[in-house]
Amino acid sequence: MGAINENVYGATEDWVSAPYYPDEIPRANRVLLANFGEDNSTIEKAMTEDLLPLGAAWDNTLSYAALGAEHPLSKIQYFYYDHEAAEPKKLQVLNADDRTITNYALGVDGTPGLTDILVTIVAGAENSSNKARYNRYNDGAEFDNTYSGYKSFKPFTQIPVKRCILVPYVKAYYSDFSYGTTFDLEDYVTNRKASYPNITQISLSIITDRNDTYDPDEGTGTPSRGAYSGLTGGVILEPLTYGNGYTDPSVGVKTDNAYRPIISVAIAGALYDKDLPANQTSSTWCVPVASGFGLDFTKIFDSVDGAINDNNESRFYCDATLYSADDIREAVRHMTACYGLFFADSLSDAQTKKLDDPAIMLGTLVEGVGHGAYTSGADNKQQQQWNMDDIHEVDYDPSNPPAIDPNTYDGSMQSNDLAFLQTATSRYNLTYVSFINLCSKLWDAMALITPGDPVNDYCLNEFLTQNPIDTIVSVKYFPISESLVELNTAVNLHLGKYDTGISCYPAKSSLRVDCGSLFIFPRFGKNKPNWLDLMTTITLYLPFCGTLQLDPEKYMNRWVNVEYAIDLVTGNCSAFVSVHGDALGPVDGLGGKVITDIASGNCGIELPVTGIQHITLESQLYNATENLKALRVNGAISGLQSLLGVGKAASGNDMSGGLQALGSAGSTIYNVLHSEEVAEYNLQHTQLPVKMIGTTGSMTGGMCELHPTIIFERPVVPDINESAYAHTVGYACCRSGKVSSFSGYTEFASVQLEGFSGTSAEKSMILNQLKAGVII
Amino acid sequence: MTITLYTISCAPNKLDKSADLGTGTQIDNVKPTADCDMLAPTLELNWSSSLPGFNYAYIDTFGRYYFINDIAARTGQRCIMSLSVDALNTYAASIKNCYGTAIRSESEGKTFIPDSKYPVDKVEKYVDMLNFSTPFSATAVAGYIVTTIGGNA
Repeated sequence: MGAINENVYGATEDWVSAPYYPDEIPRANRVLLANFGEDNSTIEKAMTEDLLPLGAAWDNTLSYAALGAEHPLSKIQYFYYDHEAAEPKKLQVLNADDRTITNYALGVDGTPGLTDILVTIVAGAENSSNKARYNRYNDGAEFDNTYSGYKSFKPFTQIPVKRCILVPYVKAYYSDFSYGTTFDLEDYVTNRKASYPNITQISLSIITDRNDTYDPDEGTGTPSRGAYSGLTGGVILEPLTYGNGYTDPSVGVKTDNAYRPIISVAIAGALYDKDLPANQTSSTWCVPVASGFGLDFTKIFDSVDGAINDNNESRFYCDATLYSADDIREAVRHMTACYGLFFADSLSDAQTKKLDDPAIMLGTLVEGVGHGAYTSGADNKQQQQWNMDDIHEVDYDPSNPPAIDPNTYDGSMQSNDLAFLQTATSRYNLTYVSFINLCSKLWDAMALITPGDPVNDYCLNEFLTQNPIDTIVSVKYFPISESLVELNTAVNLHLGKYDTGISCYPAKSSLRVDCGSLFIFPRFGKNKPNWLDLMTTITLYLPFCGTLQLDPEKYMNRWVNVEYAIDLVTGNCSAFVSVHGDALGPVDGLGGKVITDIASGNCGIELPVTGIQHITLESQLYNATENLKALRVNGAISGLQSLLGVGKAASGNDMSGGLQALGSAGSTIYNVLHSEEVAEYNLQHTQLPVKMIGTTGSMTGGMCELHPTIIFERPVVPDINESAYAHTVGYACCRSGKVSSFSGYTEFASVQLEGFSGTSAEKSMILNQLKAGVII
Repeated sequence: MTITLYTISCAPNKLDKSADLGTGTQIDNVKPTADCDMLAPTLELNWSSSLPGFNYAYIDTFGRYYFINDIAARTGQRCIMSLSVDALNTYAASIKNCYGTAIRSESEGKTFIPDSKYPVDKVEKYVDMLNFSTPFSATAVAGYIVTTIGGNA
């Protein structure tokens, strides 16, 4: 980690302790302030002594860690507001900071009440008495002694990480902004949110030790903490973009008392009517605002009548009615967690709870950068800060910050309907009864033909094809209880242009159905899975699609969602298996949904349909009829019949025998008679040509279980005495830390035995015993 | 030399035994045998009927704690006491401040790390099932879709 620049902030031994600390609290356990000379820790002193510059960012060695890109102070927007502009006034974004990390320093303001982050952007060589100013870009700025705002800010140089706890405070107003005050986070989200819906500031208070009886390492004693005198603020130790593009830097940012951005969320408190500089001739203001972790602070009021007016409102606030209490709680926690210190939702918890209490949280630093993650309770011991005395032990050098992954990894996956998908066919949804009627209608398709009209012309005109059966592309049955209706307007089913008179509804072309989410609960772990849960075999049966093996490492302790996308044209279906929810615990929500598996199958049962193939029938009938006509025109048959006095023979054999007596003339007559018999036979025995549409589809999928089902096969653990096992064998783990941070039976892989003067034989003895197992 | 004898009932591998020592019994007129090894000393002292009841000692001269391994009686109301150093308890406070990596722990509870010592049945399994809701039904009456050419739908 980088060392604090003592040439600027004073020598370590000279750092200043707040006078209210009881004597019993050792110096190492105190929050200490910079010493700019004569035990004076204020910015005013620093600037008087030329230790901190005007017009440039301050020495950033105070920054023990950095705020990540997720924190609002890395994304401050500067809104330009022309006070003298005609109504409706407009705000426009003049500049915006966009940093992957933000170096900062915590500190305390001399004024009572909640103090805010000092972004060192105060403008103005103005003569008004109610402004505080450090003009970064104008060396001519003077301190206004009538206002004791930022110049009394005192930066922290020592923060004993296990001896102080941050508490976020919410400043909020009535819905009409007639009154506002501050509440700790717990009080606000639990009791005040409804009455005070307008959040204008979120700031921090630092709660420090009031006695020395609590030992966080041993867990002994009872904590007693109190609010630091003058509350916590901060300074961004980065160049800011607010003044970029200004033609007149002397009227840059005006940050009056009400506009101070806040340590956790830089909100320009309020440009309320009473605070507007109505008596000012210079009217350009640049207001810093930042939103973060889901809270949007860029909504503003109209300055004239106090009414909310989109696009020309001039008051910044966050409408708490837009967010649930849990949303606000989590957003503020994430903002606070970025500082990498212990924090709590309520003042009372911060004052009395031990550091491993579930009510105490600890921000997570990744390579010295806070991105908003945190732990709570006993999990706090897993973090590096648990083994630190001072927060400056964090391995972070502000002059050489780590490379930051610029991706926010906030992607998600979802299934979609194809909004503009159309087909060139007509698709009808029928009930069971309607379908039976259709089947019978297929045999009656020729019923309305006018006798004598050419069959071919009739078919083409009515059915658009020579074979009416060809108008049917497919018939499918879907064993789906969801509605398949596209439009609730009934229509008659048409085969080509032929109206069958069967009432039905236009059918959808596709269907998406959410089968819901189930939580894969870790049976063996308490609130989180352990290795026994990872030995569980998880099989997901998906109707029509088969089975999937779910990897417990991916799915355990998460919500699993199944969604079917069904193609109602082809019958193909896909089951999308997604995982979502917070892996730290059961969360019912679709945040972070990831489609992890897709299985496909077919759920449309193809049904064969039969009907007369008319064109073939027509040609067969025609041929048979024409032959008969030819024979009758010839007249030979009738003549022979009268000559012989015989009727039509039933068989060729008999006829030939009877005609042999007629001689050669008889054979000719026989041949004619024979041809007529054949013609008559053909006519009477013309087969009906039948065509079948579709193949017989497999129904077995629909006959199996129709609910997606998860099947768990869990390991069986014999009944053992867990307590005795833990005390004699211990559980497998891999954690590093001080030996004192473990308790009970413990086996070590290795221990760094240093800091005492045992003989090498004794140290070898100790190491072997620690490896074999000791009771701590 | 002077030694202090204790009776402890805690496990020998307990790191810090200070809470288990109780009030010790001081014994004077203790002499080391020739070439007394600091880590495994052998001491000669006056016999007392209470001696067999002690199993732990502190030797001020060496500044260390010891397990009493054996007491051998000798003529002349003397006895020989054999001890071995308890390095764990001697340096307990310092050891606690050292950093190490634990691979088995009572306090950590079960973690993600597979535990080969933990008994798990290889053959028997518990089988559970969970059903999702479903769009499918074996009794769907309006599940027919007829696709035709031409038409009006």
